[in-house]
Amino acid sequence: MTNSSLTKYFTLLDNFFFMPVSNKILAFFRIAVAIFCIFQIGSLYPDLLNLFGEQGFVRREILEVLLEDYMPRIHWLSDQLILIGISEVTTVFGLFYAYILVLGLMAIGFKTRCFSILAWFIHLLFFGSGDIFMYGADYVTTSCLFYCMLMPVGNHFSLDNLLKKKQLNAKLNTIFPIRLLQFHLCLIYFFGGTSKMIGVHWWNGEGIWRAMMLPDFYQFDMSWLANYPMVLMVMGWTVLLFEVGYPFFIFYRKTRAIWLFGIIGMHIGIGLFMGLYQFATIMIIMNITAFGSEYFEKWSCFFSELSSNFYYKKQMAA
Amino acid sequence: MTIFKKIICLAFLFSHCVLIIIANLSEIKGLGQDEETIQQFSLVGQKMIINTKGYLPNNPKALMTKIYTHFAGINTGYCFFSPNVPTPSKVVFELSDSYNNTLTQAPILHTKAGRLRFTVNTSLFKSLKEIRELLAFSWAIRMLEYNPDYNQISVVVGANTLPAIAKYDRAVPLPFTETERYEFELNRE
Repeated sequence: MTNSSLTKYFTLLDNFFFMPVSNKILAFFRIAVAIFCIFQIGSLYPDLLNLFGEQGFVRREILEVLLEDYMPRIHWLSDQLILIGISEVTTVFGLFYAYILVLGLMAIGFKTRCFSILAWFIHLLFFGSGDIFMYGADYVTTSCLFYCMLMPVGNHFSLDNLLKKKQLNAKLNTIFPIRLLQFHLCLIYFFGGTSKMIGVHWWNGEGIWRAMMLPDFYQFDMSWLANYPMVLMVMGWTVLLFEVGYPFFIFYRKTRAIWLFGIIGMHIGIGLFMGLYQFATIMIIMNITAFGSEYFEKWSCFFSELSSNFYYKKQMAA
Repeated sequence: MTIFKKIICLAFLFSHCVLIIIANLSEIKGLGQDEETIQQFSLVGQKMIINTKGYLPNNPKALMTKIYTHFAGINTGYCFFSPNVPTPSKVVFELSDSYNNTLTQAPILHTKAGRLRFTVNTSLFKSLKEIRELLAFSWAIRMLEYNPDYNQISVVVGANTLPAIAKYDRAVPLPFTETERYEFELNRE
């Protein structure tokens, strides 16, 4: 291989991972993840003690057996606070309100890095204490908060940016954080699809049938689908195609929109028909951030043009 | 961005992705170790799993890696609903007092999100062989706290079986199959 072709490949690689971009989409990611987390923890408010309290459905003694020493949990905090007379119940509710506040500050982009770290840590405290109640959405949320902590999510549409006299140089942003999210998503769908593929039930429609009809996921009466097994079968194949094909077709510009909207559609279906709306929401947020930036930029240009036109007309009228 | 920073970024991306891949392969390996699950694989799938099981990695044992994967939320694979949507376990509590009054209750949770999480908990119950009874005891105590007039409780674990598409009959309600029962008595004195 000649030197010039090597240089060409390195330039291609460099462009692929470190091309300068505005990364406005990361602001969407920060705001959406923060709002999602407020909504997620808020939806558990009446059950906080049942799920995360020492006297909840899973007692502290059992949790201690299940958790490894390094896993953060609320007891770390409550054991210290009880020494100054603050009960465990107060600690759980106090932490709940602190979490909401921290997420709110993260959403508006005030001291973004600092509050992203805090939000991630409080999330770990809660979901470490309720480890046995964790499901897919919580693991994905942990990853999203972890990324918020590392990525430059406060560079746009943030109070930090507004308070700074000099705007951050957009050229400092590279596409790398987006690539990280893209690779993560590709692995999620590829393994999700492959492991379904080795079974029989996603090929013969039973997988879709069970997803919609099992009592714990049942949202609407879809029993009429039993008369149309072919429909269920095709739906199962579509899920397999979109999941396994995701890493291959999402990077190809011509098929990107189909795959992106197809996968978003699948998650809307999961939210509506299985009631897993939290899982669906966080996956949609991740997908839009990772592969929707070009659409996001177009819309943000459209809205900024719209607002400048409006401003211009107002000026003219004046 | 300097070349050094770029190399660091790429090294991070590479190791992060490798850890995600290991977690997923290890989960697939786990699926292949459960006799009940392996029956749900296609013949090709069964052969594939049997032949590759020995080569698939386990989740990393090194403490630092375990800490990192837990903190990054990548300590588990993404084989959601694979190879099939599992039949979620269901828990029912049968309470009775000293006058033999009885009450049957589902776990008392006030939110839909809470109930969904309890379903996850119940489904994990099967895999936690060593502490099953302790976990049932823990649930029982919570339910007795909610129902202070009762002093005996049976924790009934089972599942609603959904027939296959071809055998499904709208008129027949889903049968509940009891798999385990734990009985506890509370001495309130």
